[in-house]
Amino acid sequence: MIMSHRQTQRAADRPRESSGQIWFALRVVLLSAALFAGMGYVAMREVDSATKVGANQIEVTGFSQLDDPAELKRALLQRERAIDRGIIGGAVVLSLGLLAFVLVSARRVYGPLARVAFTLKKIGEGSFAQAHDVNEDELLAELSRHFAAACIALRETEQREVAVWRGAVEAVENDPRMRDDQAFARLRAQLRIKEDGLG
Amino acid sequence: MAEPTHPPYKRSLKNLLLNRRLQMYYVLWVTCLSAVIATALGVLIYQQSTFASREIIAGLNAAEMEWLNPQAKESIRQALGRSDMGLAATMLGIGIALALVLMASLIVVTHRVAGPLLRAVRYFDQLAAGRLPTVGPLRKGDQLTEFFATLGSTLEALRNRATQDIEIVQAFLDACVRHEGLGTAEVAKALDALRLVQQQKGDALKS
Repeated sequence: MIMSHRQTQRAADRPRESSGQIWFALRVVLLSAALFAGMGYVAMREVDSATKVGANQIEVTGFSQLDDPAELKRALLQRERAIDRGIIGGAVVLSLGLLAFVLVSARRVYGPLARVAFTLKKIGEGSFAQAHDVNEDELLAELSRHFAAACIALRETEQREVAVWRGAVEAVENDPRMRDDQAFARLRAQLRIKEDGLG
Repeated sequence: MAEPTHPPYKRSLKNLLLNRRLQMYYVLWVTCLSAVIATALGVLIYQQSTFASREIIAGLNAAEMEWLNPQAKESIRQALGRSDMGLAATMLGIGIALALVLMASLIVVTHRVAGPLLRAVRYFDQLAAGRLPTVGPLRKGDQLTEFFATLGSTLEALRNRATQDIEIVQAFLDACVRHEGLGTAEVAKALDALRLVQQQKGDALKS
């Protein structure tokens, strides 16, 4: 699908989630996978040991007196193989499930963070018009609250400064000596930029 | 606006839980999921282990085992029962130990996200208090490096803009001094207000 210039621009302006989300998910999953692998290995060894002990018990308790001790041992071995397959398959499926869970749930961290980063970029570019909405249900509600307070303070400071600058410009702009003054021209130009930043 | 005071951060085990809500969300979910897996594996091991015991105990009641006296049969039953219980207890112990290790590891992993978040909150508080701080480097292994790069460049841009504003206002104030006769009461008041803003901006940069 070909995107128009405006669509491309809009996509570039949208807050994006960080690649850190993937790294965070991978770290959590690798940690859990390492523990699963260790646990799975121990489980398979225990099952193997249980099978051997079971087979030995069949011998020592005189089960050879029965008709089918070999049948019982075969059943034990079959169960062991089935359990091994279950452990490996289950661990793989559950690790993938865990990866999906952490990736999806990490959006609850990196999503709001991407919104904060987006607004930060706009502020860095000199735009103080953005308000940051706080969603109390978010995992990062506290960060959002502090950021929203910072946004309000920055905007209020900028508004105060613009009012003072405007007052100074209006106080001297009618003086003919100021008409061609370079410093005054720069102040006025900068004032226009600051006013634009307030939206 | 007065900046909220934060207790100084000390590196300690207690401080690993910097953001309880975020960290416990991951720790509890992943640990619960892992506990379910561990329980399923434990049940499989236990079933395999007790399969032979169950078959033997059932076999002891068979007619072919009449030759064995009841005390010996009871003794075998008890030995098998003890062995199965011992296995169950060992597995439970290992399971609990693994869950604790997993929880501790997850707290450390999530701390690498919670730490930078706490620092970000402190920078935002400084901004809300009218300061323009510089962003220091993250600790080795900390997450959110991209976010901190954005925060750092934003604060740097704000500081550069403030420096530029100070220069422009200073040049203007100097020009006003050069052009004597601008000194009406109205102009003097406006310039005083500008000087005050200039002073506050300079203070914001010092922090």
